[in-house]
Amino acid sequence: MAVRTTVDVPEPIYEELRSRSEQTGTSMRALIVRALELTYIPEKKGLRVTGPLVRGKGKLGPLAGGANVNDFLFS
Amino acid sequence: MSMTSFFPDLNVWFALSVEGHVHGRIAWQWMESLPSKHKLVFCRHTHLGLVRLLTNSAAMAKRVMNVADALEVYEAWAADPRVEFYQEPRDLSNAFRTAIQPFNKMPSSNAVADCYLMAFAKEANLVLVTLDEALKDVAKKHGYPAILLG
Repeated sequence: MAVRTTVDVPEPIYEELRSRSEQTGTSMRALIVRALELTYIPEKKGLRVTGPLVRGKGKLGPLAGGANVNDFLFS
Repeated sequence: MSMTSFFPDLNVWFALSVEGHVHGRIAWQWMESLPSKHKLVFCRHTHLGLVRLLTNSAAMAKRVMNVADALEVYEAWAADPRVEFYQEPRDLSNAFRTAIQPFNKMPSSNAVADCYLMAFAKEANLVLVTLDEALKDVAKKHGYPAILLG
């Protein structure tokens, strides 16, 4: 069920919304609902992780040896 | 106690995810010590980085995973009630420029990713969690919230 509501939107945001709506062929309503969902509706959650998810005893590779791997995506 | 949101770097997520990782015990001791209302945050960098590590034989050796299985590992984390995914903060580009400034004179730097994570943590009001003492030292020196495990 949907609820109708009225809000004042600053004009620049309204213009941006209208422009995006035209460019993407998506209704302004759909764009607003999606933005609200992303911002305020929590994702559904499941079980807590209680231990390593990748099980096994085999040896890992050299990258797993404690090096800083934060830049690995760029290598 | 106020809720703190922690921002594990890629190595911490990897250590938490894979049995037998050299830092797995330290990472899990820290994880289990957290009160339940504290949050752990993924960003796109750590999400993609974890998938990349799990599917790379240089990290996983013979235990290397396929992409579908690696994505399931991430999705299991994402489903954990303690874990959240944060979009990139709006002003991150400026924050990143500030974070990387001490490295401006270097011709090439592997500090790029570290500085991205430090800037992300600061902008999103998170505490960066790392196993890398050098990263913790740089973060502390320049006023970024960070803790070192171990």
